[in-house]
Amino acid sequence: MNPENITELENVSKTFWLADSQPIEVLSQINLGIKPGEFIALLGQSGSGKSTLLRILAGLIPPTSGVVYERAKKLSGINESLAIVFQSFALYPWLTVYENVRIGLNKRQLGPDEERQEINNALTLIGLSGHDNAYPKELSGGMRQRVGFARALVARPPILAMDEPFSALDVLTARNLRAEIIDLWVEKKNVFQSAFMVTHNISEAVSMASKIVILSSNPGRLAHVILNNLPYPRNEKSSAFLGMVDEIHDLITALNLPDVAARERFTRAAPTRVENLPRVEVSRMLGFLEAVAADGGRADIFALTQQMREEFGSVIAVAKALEILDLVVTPEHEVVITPLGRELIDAEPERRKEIFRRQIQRLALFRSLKDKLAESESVTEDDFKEEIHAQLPYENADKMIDTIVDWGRYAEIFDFDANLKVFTKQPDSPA
Amino acid sequence: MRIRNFYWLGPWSQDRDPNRPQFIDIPIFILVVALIWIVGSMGRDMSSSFTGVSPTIDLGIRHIPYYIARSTLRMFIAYGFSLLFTLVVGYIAAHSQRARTLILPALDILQSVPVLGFLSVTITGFMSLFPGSLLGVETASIFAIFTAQVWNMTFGFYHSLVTIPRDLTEAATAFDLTPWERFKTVELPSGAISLIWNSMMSFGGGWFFVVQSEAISVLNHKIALPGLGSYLSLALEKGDTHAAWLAVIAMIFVVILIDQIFWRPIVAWSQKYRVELVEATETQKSWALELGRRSWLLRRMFSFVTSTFANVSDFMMKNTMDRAQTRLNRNPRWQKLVDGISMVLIFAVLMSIGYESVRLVREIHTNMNLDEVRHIFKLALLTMGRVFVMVAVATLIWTPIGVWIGFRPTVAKFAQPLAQIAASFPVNMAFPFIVGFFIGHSISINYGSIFLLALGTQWYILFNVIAGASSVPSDLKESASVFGLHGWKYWRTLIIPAIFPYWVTGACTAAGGAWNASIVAEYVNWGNKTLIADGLGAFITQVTAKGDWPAIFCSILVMSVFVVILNRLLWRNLYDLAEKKFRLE
Repeated sequence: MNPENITELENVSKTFWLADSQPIEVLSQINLGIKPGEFIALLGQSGSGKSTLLRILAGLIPPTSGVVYERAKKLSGINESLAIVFQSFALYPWLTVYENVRIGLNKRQLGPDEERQEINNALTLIGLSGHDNAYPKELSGGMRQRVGFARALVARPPILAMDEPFSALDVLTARNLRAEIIDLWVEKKNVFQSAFMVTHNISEAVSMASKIVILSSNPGRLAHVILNNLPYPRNEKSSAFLGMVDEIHDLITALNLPDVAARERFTRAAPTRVENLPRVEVSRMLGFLEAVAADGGRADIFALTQQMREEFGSVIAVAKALEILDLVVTPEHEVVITPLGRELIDAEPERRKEIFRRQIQRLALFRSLKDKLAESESVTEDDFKEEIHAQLPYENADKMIDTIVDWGRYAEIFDFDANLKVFTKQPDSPA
Repeated sequence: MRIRNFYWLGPWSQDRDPNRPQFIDIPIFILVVALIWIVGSMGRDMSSSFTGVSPTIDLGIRHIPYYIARSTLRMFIAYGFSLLFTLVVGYIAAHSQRARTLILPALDILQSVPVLGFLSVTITGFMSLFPGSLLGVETASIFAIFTAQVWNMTFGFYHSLVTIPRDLTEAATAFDLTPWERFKTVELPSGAISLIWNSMMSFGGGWFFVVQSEAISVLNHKIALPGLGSYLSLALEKGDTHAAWLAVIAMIFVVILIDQIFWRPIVAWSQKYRVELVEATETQKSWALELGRRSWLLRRMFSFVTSTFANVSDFMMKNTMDRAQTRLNRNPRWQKLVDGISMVLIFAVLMSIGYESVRLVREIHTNMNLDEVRHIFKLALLTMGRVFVMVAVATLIWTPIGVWIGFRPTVAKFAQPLAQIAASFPVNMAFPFIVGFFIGHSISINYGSIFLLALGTQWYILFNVIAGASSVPSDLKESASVFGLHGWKYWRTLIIPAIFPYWVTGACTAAGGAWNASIVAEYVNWGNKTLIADGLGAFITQVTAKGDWPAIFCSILVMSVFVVILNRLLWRNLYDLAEKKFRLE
């Protein structure tokens, strides 16, 4: 524990027990402190547990193990040093803008005049003056999030915590609001000392934060911490800015797509290794492959992401799935189509299925399912889920089953009855 | 790990081949044959002769299964008619502008009319329809159950027909589906979930009316239809507490059994008609459905019945619905003819309603003086007071409990079906026992009846509060915690506004049910003692027993007017407020 920190996570882990399923560890051994004057951005793929981390920090959910400190004291209950801006705004639809903002003043015992003064200041600061008596549903998304910010700011928190604050907004609105928040931060209008933002948007993190923390997935661990000393206002076109964005891209890519050589050693040497199948639908894999093929069989994954206007993490998941099937290789942050991938893309639908079927039948999970189906008429989902859990204890077996069903249906290697929850042989399966 | 796969049934379920009979088919076969036999022999008994002497009820314990079967059969027959009515009338209301203007207000009023008050009127009518046969009384009982179930179902079905997503109906038009094809591929499936859910709730409410309508004294006659309700009332009359408790236990057993082997499987099965393509996270499960799906026999029977039904209805409806429609579309003369006929029909209906009401008013006018009418109004105000006190107290008690449950998904998952079963239990079976307590502690029925009203109707408030609390978005709860809202402020800012729309639905249903229940709750027997409260419900019961027609009509009319006016002035406005201000999108 560092006394300098306003608040701090020490060895925090979090495991969820969902009904009817195996425990899932979302966060593992997190150590993270927030000092005065820091703007920390927490970067991670969706599902990496970054929102969970924020909620543990805020005292909304308790960690499974580890300690949360607030001002050097063990936290019990809500963390008084934080005010949160929510991704979904979390405004009360039956309260006006003014009344919603007043919620933020709840903990500061002020007189009515002071209260009015504070609220009006916050509304002016955030560009909402004149909207006092509007109801949230009358406002656009951008204006609603301004109410969210105003409510957090009137609380005068030492730390302004933001959970993907711009991701529910359209691109232009998000850019505009982001710039205003940066101005507030830079001009140090004494509204908040430190900031903590959860995001999946890399350039957002680089443009705002003084410290960028990258979270790996399954379970979430602190993978990298990058200090960002670029002077404000940051120019998104400057080479220093772009360099940092590239660096982060490479780090995330390396986290999710370990280098081929290393991977090769792993898989070839241990053929019984069970692959973790990312939750990616076949149609997305084929579309991605088409896109790479159209780019001449080699593409930069960062450029592809921008071209597809998708979240980096979900594009990486597709690349990962294709790599497991040996349809692409991913040296550094490039995606290169393999001869087999090329053959698949050029083939007729029936031949495509054949290639796909051959490839997935090399995967350990599909092999074991096939063996089971050779032994008996049908295999229940529960049985198979237990097997997955035994092999890959940290993965979400439900998602894995979804993937297996989707891939297997496309390849026509088995049938799945969603009512009975059993796998059966395809009647005319070439088993 | 949950037991879900019935391995405990033995090794045969391990390598089950869906195309071969299973062990489970043996008990299911026996059950099916028994069921057919029971329904057949009950049907014969229903039309046994009736010569003014009521059938005797035997309090022997071995007769209970027979009475259970009779009561249950009544429920299912009434439900069958309700379903048919719902499909036909709901469909017509959704498709014909003209019919809608007549059907919707009619449903609204019929929903508000105290069904129990009509029991005596309908019994005499049906008895003259089937002279010398018990079928008349039987039909009247079934009719009472029918009227308790049907309006709510019809409204629900109509509502789901008019709110079918636009793209689905547009696709149907684009593919040029005939009206019948459209009904079976688009309209019925999209309405299925709400129809089944409403059916389950209405069916549960029907038990109350079975119990009430089986043993009835009308025009100084005591008639008892064989059934659990009659069994209980005879047991109480004879002071046989042992038998009375047996009847209550049997009823609990039946309610749970039908919930488990009839409604749960249907609800779980109907999940495939969810309109969203996204898979629901909270799936409905039924052990009976999973068991049934393993049975070769049941699947065979099910597919035989459904395909036969589909073929027959295809054949019939194609010839009526579609041909009528094409004829209408092609031929303007037909169109005019149908228009003309429907105008005449509507006119006739309106005229006869007008004539009847004039006749009624005149009859009331000639037979009752102003003081008597004023007295009825005074009694209505008293009953209204009871209804409001009941709603207020039930709200104060159940809201915190409902919120507590609704905020805990795991608790809600167990509590919801339990509460549903509890709500299905006909509380009028418990009234005499409670009244015994009232007598023992000399509690006035004027206040005690409020408790009796609450027994049956409080559940609607609890259900809806649970539903409301469990739908409060977690980010709103989180922001309340982060900004330190506690205690009353937390309730005022978040909980009360968030559950308000749900509470309005629940309170409105509870109040409507309470008016109806007042007929039973304000006039109760315990052995040879009778407790009568000052209220319109007790008044209706008394004049019905006496056969005082003008008073019957007048009091029912007053009650209906009260309910309709309260719906218009109070509940409708609260609904609008909830919709406008407190809707969480």
